[in-house]
Formats: sequence, structure tokens, C-alpha cells
Amino acid sequence: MVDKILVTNAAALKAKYANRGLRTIQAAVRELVAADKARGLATRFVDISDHATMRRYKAPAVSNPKSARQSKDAIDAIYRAMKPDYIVLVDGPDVIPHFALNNPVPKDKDVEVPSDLPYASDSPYSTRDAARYAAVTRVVGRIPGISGASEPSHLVKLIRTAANFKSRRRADYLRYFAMSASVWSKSTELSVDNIFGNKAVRICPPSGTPGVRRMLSPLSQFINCHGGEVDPQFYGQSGQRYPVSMTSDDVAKGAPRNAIVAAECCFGAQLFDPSLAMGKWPISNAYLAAGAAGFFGSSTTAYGPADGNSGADLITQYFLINVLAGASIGRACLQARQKFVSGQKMEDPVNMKTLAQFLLLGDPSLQPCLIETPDARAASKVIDYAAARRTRRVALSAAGKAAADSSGFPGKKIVRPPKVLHNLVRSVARRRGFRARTDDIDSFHIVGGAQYGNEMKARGVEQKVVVVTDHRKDGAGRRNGAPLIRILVAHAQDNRLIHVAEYVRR
Amino acid sequence: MSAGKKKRITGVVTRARIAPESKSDHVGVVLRTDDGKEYVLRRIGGNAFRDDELEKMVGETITGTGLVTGRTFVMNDWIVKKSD
Repeated sequence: MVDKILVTNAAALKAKYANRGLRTIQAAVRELVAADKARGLATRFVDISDHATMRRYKAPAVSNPKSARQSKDAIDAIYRAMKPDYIVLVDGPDVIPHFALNNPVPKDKDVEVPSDLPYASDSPYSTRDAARYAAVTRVVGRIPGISGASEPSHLVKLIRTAANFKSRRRADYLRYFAMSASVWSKSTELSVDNIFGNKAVRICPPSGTPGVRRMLSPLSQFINCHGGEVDPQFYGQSGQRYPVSMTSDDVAKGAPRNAIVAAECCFGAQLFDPSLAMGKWPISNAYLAAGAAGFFGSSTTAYGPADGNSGADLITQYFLINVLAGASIGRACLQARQKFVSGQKMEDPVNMKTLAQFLLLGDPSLQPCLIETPDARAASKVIDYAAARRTRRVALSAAGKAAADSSGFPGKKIVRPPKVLHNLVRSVARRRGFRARTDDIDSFHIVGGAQYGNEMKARGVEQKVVVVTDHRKDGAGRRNGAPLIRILVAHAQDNRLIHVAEYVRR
Repeated sequence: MSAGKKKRITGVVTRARIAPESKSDHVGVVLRTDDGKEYVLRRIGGNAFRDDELEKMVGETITGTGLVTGRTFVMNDWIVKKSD
């Protein structure tokens, strides 16, 4: 019985770090395997580039380390053979690639959505459509080295962090650091209240670099700031000012060991090559180098409203809530994704992108919070924790499939939408002050997961989603050049409106 | 995301809405090229959301040298074309 697999591509590691580097990594992995054994986990290191190894799993070895499809096929075969409770991708996307999924929200100009979601799904590779992998059933995390590095010290340090990690009392994780761009303070207060039962948030401005490094000592961290592509900084916002809220240098100097971090920021978990940023590391890598247990963030442009909670707010909240409830960080990620799929309208392209873009960095088997109640202590003498974990995986695998089966997803764009629906949505939009020209309105078919699709078919109904975008400048905007952007998403069944949601630019 | 090859790109520096409706929706600076491409423009090490040096170049035609990553052109260096 294997509980955890460490998956890597040794040929790619060798090409990246040379023979000596590979040997150093293999030695660190042996330490982790031994540490896991002491923790009751049977861990196996699997090289997906090795033909003899992959023959055992009845799958071809990965010949092209840039092929996410080959890597997924190999990992699927290993998973089928061993059904491990944890899958760990060892090193960054230059060794085990992200999937380049289609961007469901192309108007934000992200070329694609780099994603680890397909590795967490039993659905075999068939398409770049994220909805294909919405049945999330596996616990997956990535221990990322530095992209483009030629020596492995960062990766080795992270593997040793995992080997040496010790769970702590839940109370230790209830003290938190939360930072928000000023314009999103209401949304962030709502999030931290849901997670910690407290509304205290650091606001940027006035808080920010370099003073922020003195605020980073808590073990739980929640960040709702702006982030940019290949950028080692996060930003606050007040009006048209975007002061730097934190940098990877701040994190290196101030972040504690064993931290658990959820960052809503756009590109917050993008694993870029530091040579693109004057040698500065991504903030996620900086946290992990400082000894963080895990970092949950986005590979691309993320979404959420200024005042309420949706999209990135929810999936990051769910993650931290699960960690604080005693889950391993990998299970916390899996259950966050499943709750998001089952609880949100996945027909909304923004929600689909959110599911695809958030990923877990860190060893997914680490369990930060021990739940130490008298009942838990008494039960620990009789409970078989490995069996309990396997039972949870059975339930979670079924739950992931059920959540996707019971959801609708955005399908193809409708070239000629029904006039009656188009006009109805336009009239609703205009009543709400939208300009709503024909070019501003897009309609999409809704396709269902298995159960959802069957029900639609059995009931003879057809669902669509209509998106109205309004770009214009409000009074203040005309003075400072900032446009007012509003989106109206109308859900329809048989050309009758069933739900209307509105999003406003933050 | 690994570093690619350095590129020289010529275009007009323009103010534009970037990442509409997203968490990082903002008015920033882009480089529009003659062949219709548009890159979010950044100076290496510069503020990704508000860079006064780039703002000063709005309306100018420039040739930048740097790296393209996704939708962003990170410039190390640039030359502003003189007006005719």
C-alpha cells in the first residue's frame, strides 16, 4: 500500500540541474521518504521519464518534459495502479509542466491558464477546456524549485521543510496576518471574518513595503492585493494610486516558518523565472523558502468583487477554513475546489477560470493544525488514521464526481442568439443603466455534467447564459481616465430569465 | 515561466484598460504594434500598475528591447521615435 507518491521527471531534473544536482535532490527525497515513514506514511518516488519504471504502471515514459499531456497520462497510470492519498509534483513547471488550459474569460487577455487542475482529476486528457477537469477527486500539490534555476538548493530546501514539518496546535494558526488593497477592504473583512471570526485587516495604503515585513509573523496569512505578471511585488490601491504592499524581499525577511498562505492576488502563484524580474523571486517561492508549509494562489488574472465575496475570495477562504479544521493542505485544496464547484454557478466563465487557475504549492500531506480535544485524544488510541484517510478519499472522490455531474458549465458561444432572449436581457440591462449595444452582449449554451445534462434532457429544457459588458467612464472617471466597467450575467432556461447577477469593476 | 529570447518591438504607447472586471482591473499602458498586437507594457523592476515613466510616453512611438511573457512586454531598454 502506497500512501503518497512523489512524482518527478528525472531527465528534466538532470537537464536543469546536471547530474550532481539530481543526486542532491534524490538524497533530499530519501530524507522525506524516511520522515514520512516515521509519520506513518508509505511514500514512493516515481520517475515518469524512466521506461522501466513506467512499464510497471503500463504506461509510456514521458519523452517530452514540456508535454503536460504525457505527464498527465503517466500520472493517471500511476494513480490507477496505486490510488495514493497524496500526489506531489516535484519541482516547477519546467520539470512537471502546468496545463495550458483555454482561458474562459479571454477579454482579460491572459493567453492561457497555466493549471495543475487536470492532475487532480480522473478525467483523462482530451481537451484544453477546463470544464473537462471539474470533477476534482485527487489530492495534489507541487513542491516548486525556482523556474530556470541551474542549481537545486531552493528545491532541496523545500523538500527538507516538508521532511522536518511538525503539526502544531490549532490555536497557533488562529493568529493571522491579512492584507488588503484599500479599495477591497470590505470584501477582505468579510473573508477574514468567515475564516477567523475577526475583521482585522491591514490596509494598503497606508500599510505596505517595507514596514509590512514586521507584520508577517502570524502563521496564517490571507492576502487580497493586486498582483502582476512576472512581478515579485503585490500592490494596494487607493483611487489611482497603486503603492507596493509587499515584495518577495519583505517575505524573505519577515515571514515565519510553517506559515500557511492564501493569496487572492492576480498571478499570486505564477512560478516565473526570476531573470524576468531582475533576479527577484516570485512571492510564492519566497514564502516557501522562508519555510512556509503551503501557498495557495492563482497563476493568472483572478476575480472577485470590491464589497462582497465571490470567485477568488471564496476558493481561498474555503482553503484556509479547511486547514484550520485540521485537514492536510492537500485535502484543504481538494475540498475547497469541490465546495466551489458544488456551491457556485459554474456556467459563469469567471467561476470556471477561478477553478482552473488556483493551485497548491507545498507538500500536500502536511497537516498544519492538530485538533486536540479530549474526544480526539481518546479516539487517537483506537483510530487507524491511515484507514480513516483512505475512507475519506473514497468519499471525496465520489463527492468530486457528484459535484461536477451536478453542475452546468459554459459551452459554445451562440452565434445567433434568440431574439426574444437577447431583447429581454438588453431591456433588463438598460433598466440598470447599461448601454447594452448588440456588440456588448454575448450568449453561450450551457452544457451539463452527466446528471445535470440528463436532467436538462429529461425535462426537455435548454439553458443559456448571456453576458452584457458595459465600458464607460463615470463622472469621476472622466476626470482621472478610469472607466466604469460593469458586467451583467443573465442565466436563462428556455429563453426565460432565471437569475441575474451583476459585477462591477473594482 | 522561463525566460525566452529578447525581442525588439516597435509600437505606439497607449493608455488602455487592462484585465477588465478582474481583481486587477486598471487603466495601464500598452504597446500597440502595426500588426495589431497589444502588449501590457512594463519597465523591468517598474510598478506593474502605475509607472509614471511609462505614462510620460503615452502617444509616442517607441522601439523597446525586452522579453515577452504571456501578455506582457517587460522592457529593459527603449528608444522613443522622434516626431517628423
